[in-house]
Amino acid sequence: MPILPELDGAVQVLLVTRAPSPALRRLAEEDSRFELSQVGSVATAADRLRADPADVVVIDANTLQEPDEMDRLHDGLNGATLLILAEDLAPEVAPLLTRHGGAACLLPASAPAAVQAQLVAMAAERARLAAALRQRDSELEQRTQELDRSRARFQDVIERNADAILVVDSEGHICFANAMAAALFRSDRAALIGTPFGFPVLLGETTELDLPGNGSGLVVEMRVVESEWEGKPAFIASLRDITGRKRAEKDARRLIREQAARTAAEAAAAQFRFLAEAGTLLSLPLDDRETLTTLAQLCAADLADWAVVYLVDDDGMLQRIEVAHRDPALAEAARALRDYPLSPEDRHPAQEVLRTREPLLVPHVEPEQLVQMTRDVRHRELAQQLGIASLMIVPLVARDRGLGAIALVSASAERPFDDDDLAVAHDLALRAALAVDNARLFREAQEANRAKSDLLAVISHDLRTPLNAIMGYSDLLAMGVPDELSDTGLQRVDRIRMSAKHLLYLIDELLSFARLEAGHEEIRPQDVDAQSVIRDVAAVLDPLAVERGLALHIDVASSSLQLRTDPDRLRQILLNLVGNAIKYTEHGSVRLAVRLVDGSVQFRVSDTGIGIAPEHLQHIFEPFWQADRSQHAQQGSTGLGLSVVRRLVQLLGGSVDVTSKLGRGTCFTVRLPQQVEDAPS
Amino acid sequence: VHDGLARPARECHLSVPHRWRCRLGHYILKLFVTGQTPRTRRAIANLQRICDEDLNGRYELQIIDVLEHPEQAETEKILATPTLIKQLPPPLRRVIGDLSDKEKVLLGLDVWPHLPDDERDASP
Repeated sequence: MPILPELDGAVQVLLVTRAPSPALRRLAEEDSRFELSQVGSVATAADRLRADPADVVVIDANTLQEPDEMDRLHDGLNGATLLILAEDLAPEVAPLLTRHGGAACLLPASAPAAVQAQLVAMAAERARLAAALRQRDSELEQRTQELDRSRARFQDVIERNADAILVVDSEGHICFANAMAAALFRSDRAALIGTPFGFPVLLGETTELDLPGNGSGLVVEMRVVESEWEGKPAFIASLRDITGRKRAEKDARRLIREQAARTAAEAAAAQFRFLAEAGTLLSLPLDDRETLTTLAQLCAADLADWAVVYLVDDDGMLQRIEVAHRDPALAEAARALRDYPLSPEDRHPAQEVLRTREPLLVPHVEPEQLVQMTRDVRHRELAQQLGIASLMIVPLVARDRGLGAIALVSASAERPFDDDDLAVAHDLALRAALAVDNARLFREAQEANRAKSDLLAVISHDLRTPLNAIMGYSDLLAMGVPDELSDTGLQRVDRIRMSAKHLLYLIDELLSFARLEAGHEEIRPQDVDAQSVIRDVAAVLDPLAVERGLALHIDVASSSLQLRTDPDRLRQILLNLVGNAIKYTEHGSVRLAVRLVDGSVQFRVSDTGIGIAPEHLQHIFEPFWQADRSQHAQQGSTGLGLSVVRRLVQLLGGSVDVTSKLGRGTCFTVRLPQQVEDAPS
Repeated sequence: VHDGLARPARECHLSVPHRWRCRLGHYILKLFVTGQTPRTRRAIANLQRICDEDLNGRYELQIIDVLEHPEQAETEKILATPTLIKQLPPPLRRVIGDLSDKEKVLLGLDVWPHLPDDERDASP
């Protein structure tokens, strides 16, 4: 038995011949792997092969009638190896073999059966190998196609990606760019390859870049991953156009800023309103206790849930003056807390704040802090009942005097106080402290003033008593009682009488001022003819004017001018003003006029005197004030005249003002209502 | 390698060319930016820090706004900003991004940080 190649399965052999082929038949009989079938012509073989493929086709050269007959078969071989069975390498056989290249080979008919079997087996093996190769080819083809498809898909993904994708080598040159990259850089892809992009440096995942070349100023977000390109380290950079997002973010930020600004403005306006309201309240001349009670209520309504006002009492002890709560239902508890004892040993935070004069802010009051702040369980319960989540305490300090403190409490942890709240509270405390201190100062000043006026009234009254004796006895002396005086003696007694009269005038002035100041004056209105009052005044003062070489003019309307006022007061006013004018005028004239102007009676006293400097004008109505102290002595006046004038004018419900030019003269204008209201007695 | 070094032979050591370049070289840097954007400000701040810390004052930094000098951007083929170009010493290098990672900037620019003075003297 010849050695045959290892073959899997049966070997199909198709024999194309009309003659018997004993060698092959024996092969099939001896080796069961060979299955032999036979057809008589090439045409039949082609049909058979189509239906039933074979591994080896053996064609007897003698069955071939024409040389190209075999061509018909060739296409139908279907992978089978073709063997030409011939006696010899006859001249007609050679072209057949070459015609079919490696696909056909000679099976010598004269060869021993074993050799023929060997050849058929080899042909079968070749057929098998060819088939396997074809299989491999087709698989490879399939794989290649798949790869191509997959590559196309990936390329599609990259090309159609909304992000621009660049591959950049380690020196920053572009190795690859997708279509979006070309579009983003407004370049074509070929031009981008090799262009320097730059070694990407960023911390974190992304960074933002500007694309200036694009005219419209695009902003892109760059994301970079380290990778490889053709075996070398490279970066894959993807660029996403975020210009629209940036714009939206900017708009959103602007919106937020605007909103924040609006909120801040509203908050500021609210604070301003509150402070304005508090300021109005605090500017009222209220008793300080009342001021602070109202303030506490205002705070509890606007700034906090409840507020406590503490004041230092006369013994220097801190006391709760008021506890005000927003919720009227808790008024009872607020009162209880107000009346709850407070002693220096308590180390109450308000005492600390007053001592250090530093405001205190506790945004979140912790339970243990509450324990520290309160005196005992009852105290703590009261605080908890009112609600204590956030706390601030501001000192009341004015002119370096610690007056007390204000505590503001928020009952809700969701509304804790912050530095802004503290600033408002601090501001408020400053105003409140000033108001309290002003009220105290005002009260003290008023009391002092009243005491002074009382003293003046008493003194001037007491001064008059001895003066009466002086005047009475000097009058008697002048009358020659008890003895006639010599001329010299008479002269001296006259001096005494004149001086006494002057002293009496001064004391009267002082007394009337003191009475006015002490508020003891009252008015007695009557129907008065302004012209007659003026004439009276002129009659009294004309001799004095003549004595000083001055002309006293009276300027009255032709018809009578009636008004209802206190004639004594009016006379006193005009006497004072005209007397003053005469006193301070060296040359020229003094004019007294009266007119009805806009429903009020206007008296005008003008002179051609020394005038008053502008800086002094505002002081001239103040008591005891004089432009020049030396003149005081010279003119022999108290400096109370104009002060009394103003008081009297006010008493009559009118006003007085002055204009003056230094060296040219002065003009006083008194306006009185035509109808003075009867003073409540 | 040691272009025009007028220094003693002791210093011309072939095994440390990078140190050489950087120790004696003067850096000429150009930073391309686009207007006054937050990106511009960030890049300038980061670069300033790197120059102060690692270039030991031996640098010239030119900041070029491509909106004002589009022709320079054209010449340098600036695709996006901030882009930092190291013009001198060679090799020419460019870096893109916010320049926030100092080590990477130095790596990308092919710059070796200066050695402290004492170390410099000790090296051959």
